[in-house]
Amino acid sequence: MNLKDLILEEYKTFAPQASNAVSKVLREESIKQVAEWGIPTIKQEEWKYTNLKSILDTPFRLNASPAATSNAIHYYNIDAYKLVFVNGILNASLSDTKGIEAFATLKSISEAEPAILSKYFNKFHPFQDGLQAANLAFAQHGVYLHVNKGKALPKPVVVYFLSDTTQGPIFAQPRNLIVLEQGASAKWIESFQSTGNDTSFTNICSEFFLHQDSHLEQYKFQQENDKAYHVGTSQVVHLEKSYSHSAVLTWSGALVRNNLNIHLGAEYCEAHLYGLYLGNNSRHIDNHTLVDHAMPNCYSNELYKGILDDQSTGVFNGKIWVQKDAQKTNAFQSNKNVLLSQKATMNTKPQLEIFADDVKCSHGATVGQLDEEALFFLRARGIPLAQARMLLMQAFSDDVLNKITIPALQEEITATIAQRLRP
Amino acid sequence: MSDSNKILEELTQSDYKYGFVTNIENDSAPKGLSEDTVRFISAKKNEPEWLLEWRLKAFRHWLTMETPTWANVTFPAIDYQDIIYYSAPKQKISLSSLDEIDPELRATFEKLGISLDEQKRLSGVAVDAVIDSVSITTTFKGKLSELGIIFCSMSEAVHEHPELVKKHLGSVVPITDNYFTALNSAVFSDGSFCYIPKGVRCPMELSTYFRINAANTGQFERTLLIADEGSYVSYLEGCTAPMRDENQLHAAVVELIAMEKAEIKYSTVQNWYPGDKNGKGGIYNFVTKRAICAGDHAKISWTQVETGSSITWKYPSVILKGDYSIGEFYSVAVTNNMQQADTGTKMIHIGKNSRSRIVSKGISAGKSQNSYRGLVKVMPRAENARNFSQCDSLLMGDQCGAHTFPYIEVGNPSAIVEHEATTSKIGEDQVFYCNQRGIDTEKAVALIVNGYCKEVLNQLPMEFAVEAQKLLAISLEGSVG
Amino acid sequence: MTTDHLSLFIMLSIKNLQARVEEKEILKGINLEVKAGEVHAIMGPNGSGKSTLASILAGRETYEVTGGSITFEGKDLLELSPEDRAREGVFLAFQYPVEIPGVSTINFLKTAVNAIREYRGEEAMDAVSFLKMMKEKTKVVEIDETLLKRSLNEGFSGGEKKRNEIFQMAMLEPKLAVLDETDSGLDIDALKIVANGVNKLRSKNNAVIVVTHYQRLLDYIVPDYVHVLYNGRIVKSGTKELALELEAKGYDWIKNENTAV
Repeated sequence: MNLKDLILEEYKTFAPQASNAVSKVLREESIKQVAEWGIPTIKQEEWKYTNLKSILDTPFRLNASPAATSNAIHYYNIDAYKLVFVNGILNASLSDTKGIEAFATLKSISEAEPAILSKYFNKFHPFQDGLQAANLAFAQHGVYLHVNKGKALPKPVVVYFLSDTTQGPIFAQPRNLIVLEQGASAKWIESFQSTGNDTSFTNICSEFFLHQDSHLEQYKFQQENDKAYHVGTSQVVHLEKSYSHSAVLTWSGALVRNNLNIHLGAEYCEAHLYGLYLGNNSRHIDNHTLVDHAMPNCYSNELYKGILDDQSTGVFNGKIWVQKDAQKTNAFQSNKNVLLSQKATMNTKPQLEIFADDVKCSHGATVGQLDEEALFFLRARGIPLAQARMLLMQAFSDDVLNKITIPALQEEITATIAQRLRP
Repeated sequence: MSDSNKILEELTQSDYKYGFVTNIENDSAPKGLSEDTVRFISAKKNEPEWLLEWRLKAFRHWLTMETPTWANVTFPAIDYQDIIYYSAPKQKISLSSLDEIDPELRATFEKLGISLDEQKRLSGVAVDAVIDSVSITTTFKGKLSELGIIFCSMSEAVHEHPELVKKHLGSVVPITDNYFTALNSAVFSDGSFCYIPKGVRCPMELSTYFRINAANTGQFERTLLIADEGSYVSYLEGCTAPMRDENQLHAAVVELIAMEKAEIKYSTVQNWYPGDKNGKGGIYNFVTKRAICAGDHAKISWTQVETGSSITWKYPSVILKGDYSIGEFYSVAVTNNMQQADTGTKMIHIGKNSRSRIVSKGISAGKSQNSYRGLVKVMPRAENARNFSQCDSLLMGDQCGAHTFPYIEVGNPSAIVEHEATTSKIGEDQVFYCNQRGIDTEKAVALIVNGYCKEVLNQLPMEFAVEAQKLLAISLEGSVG
Repeated sequence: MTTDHLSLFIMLSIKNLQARVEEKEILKGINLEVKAGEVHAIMGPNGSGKSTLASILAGRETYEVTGGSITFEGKDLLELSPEDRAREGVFLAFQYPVEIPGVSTINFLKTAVNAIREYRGEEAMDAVSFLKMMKEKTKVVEIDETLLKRSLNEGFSGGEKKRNEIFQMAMLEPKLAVLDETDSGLDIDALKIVANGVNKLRSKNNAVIVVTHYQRLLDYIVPDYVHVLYNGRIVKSGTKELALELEAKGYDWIKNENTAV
């Protein structure tokens, strides 16, 4: 049975015992969309360069009961609230959120008030496809974090998503909702890791809703193994004067697709988007971003950088969309890539769609190599070629790594990436 | 509303000055498209059997295809049975001299600023004039033939140089390439054919002037240009059409072939009727232009100034097959009122050390939509390929849209591909600065726009550049954002 | 002579001029008369309204004139469009000259010169005499000709931009030139060159208004009159000695005097 049929089949058992986190009507509608649209194929413009075909016939288990415990997770060495998901399902015993109640409501999606969820769920979905529909149809396992008015979470929230395939291939679909009330602020970190030698497929969606003057920093670190497939969508909805800062770093996994969609839905919002992707072996890393400037006087800035080695493939598709009313928009986008090997490929498509005239928008994309001059200079100073290359790659990556504002985390991720870049 | 905006509104309604109709008798095919139509056209042109078969193959393939929908343009479905596929001005058969051209026709071309009379022409531009479906005349043929240059209508080439036509027709743009190329291949009526022999530098600009005149007619011309080893040619193309309330389809195919060390410079000033300010009428300009640098060190340069057509859908492309070959694309696309343009280029790098450069300047005014769509593809064997693309958009007024869709696919690590794009408007401070020096707003805008497009206009041959500048001014008079 | 006769010699007459930007009142009643042949300096601290006055003379739409009048050679200046003011002979040397990519200074000036000539009913200048005139003027203001072939002000240094303004002034031969902080951002050498250019262009038929914050420019362009603008009004007028006094005592002198009243 292929993945689409597996999903439709599973839904039959899931539907009767589904929570009312999502209304039955919406679930039904979503599963119909799955039936109609199927799993995205390269015939769809948004999937032109990313082909899921090779894994569609994998005998995935959906909603697989997670292993009881797991020592397979690498926890970051920072002071943080901790949430652990195994195969898409929250594991309370491994999680630690002590003290969060003073600042925020934290519940699993299935326990949250349906009224609240319906207010925030699925409000911005610019590119709907079969996988996003499937995620919504099964929305049950995930976290709902609501930071109260004027509160600043004193510690970041780190969510570890572990794909455990020790008992066979798994397909997981967590869904998270993060709401920042007026003037609230939070740091949210998603870490994807895996254990076991079988294929995993994570189809995750996280939605962020930013009320006036709120402040969000969110990070996504992809460090699963070479059998891991990942399609993740993060949607950020901005209200007046809110601020978001996103960094998406991928240096692992077999096929990774990160969607980051930002909706600037009120005036004077500011969004920063950063991405770093390091491809080696036959890794495939696809970053799709959308910045939707719907209202005037907003600012967005985007920097995505990639290094591709071996037979790896990189995809960047960035769209800046300036709607008719969004005068005085400032939107900038830059995508820089380095190809290291004869068989590596980079496909980039930076797009501007502008419907307002009083705007400043620009984008740039480059594909090239490490600077020969700089390499020569380093070698002339006695540094061996391999090490010189590594130094330059680190310098290239630093522009994004520097955007991790939690010092201990920055240090740790930088070290991990340095390790990865070592010849 | 500021004064400048008022001026914008008044002046963007300026009239299309080529909108007249010539009253001449036509010899037309009945409306509609079937195998019979294809046979009719082929018979009219007294074509050899192989060409009829080629057309029929294209037609049968076309039947299996669907209109492409990926471009950022919208238009109602075209009724292909409501179009006349062949229309030719009735003329005495076989002209022995230019004097025998219908005076009405001659007057038409005079009005368009194109003299068909060789003697009167001071500038060395050889013209092939195509009205509706057929080539009327080609000037300077004698002089060119002394150098071995063939410059004639496609119909003539089919008879006079069948081996060249047979070898190259459809070799760059296969009949199955897309919906409109299949259609064109089935029903193309005429067009220009040009062959520059080895080592010859064509001493004058070659030019084709296209004119749609008859009502309800589609124009499907076909241009084939071959520059043999070490040769050079500069080719110009201009287009106009009468103002008519219905939309007219123009689906042309242009194929360029540059052999080793040959260079082709292809310039277009496209000023088909754009429709009125409410979007009524105008030409659907669905054109496939593709060039191949077949040999090493070949160079092909496309320059286009697109101001007309209600919808433009064209992507002049270069396949950089030869090592060290060079492809260039310089484009100014202006849209105003209800016009839609989806245009750009493809640079396919196959050869080692191949280079390409893209400069695209989009200008949107009124309620128009202007898209740049481009592909830069570096194949794995294209060592040291280089591309630089600059795609700028200028918006005038808040009713229009500017879109940039660049696709960059790089499969070789020694390639360097750079793409930059900006969107801006004409600054009020720039206009005020001009005003303060005594230049009125209308002239100021023309000045600023010409400055913005300069890099592209500089690529045009002198005469054409002046024409293009005027055209830009007319298309955009007073448009200030 | 009657007063009517006298007014014939007055080139520019500003009476009780009031203006604002959005809701903010900037000029609160300016009175000023300038005769042909004169050089007036308008000084004042930042925010006093100096540049506003310069911009209003040129017709910038950002400012709304709420009262008073400006008469230039008997014509109501406020009724004229910016380009017609320029064509009548009002020239503003911009504090921040604008860049126009792709348009060379030569091309720009040729368009301007001919627009002005057309307004005056004169024939357009042909390329040869235009280039001849340009050559002469480049010598007057000591500007490098290669600069004029480049896009207008694009990539010019601050000094080059200001020199280009004076060059344009030389080419357009205005009756009234308004120099808006032309000295700002210039080192002393550039300042001398600019001032020298202005001095060479002075005649008994034209007038200059120099708007500046600092006295130093006035060492080189010696004014006949100095006016001190403060808080939207001219609070002191005098001869060139006033500028020196102002330099010695600083603007606080004016501020204190005016807050004390």
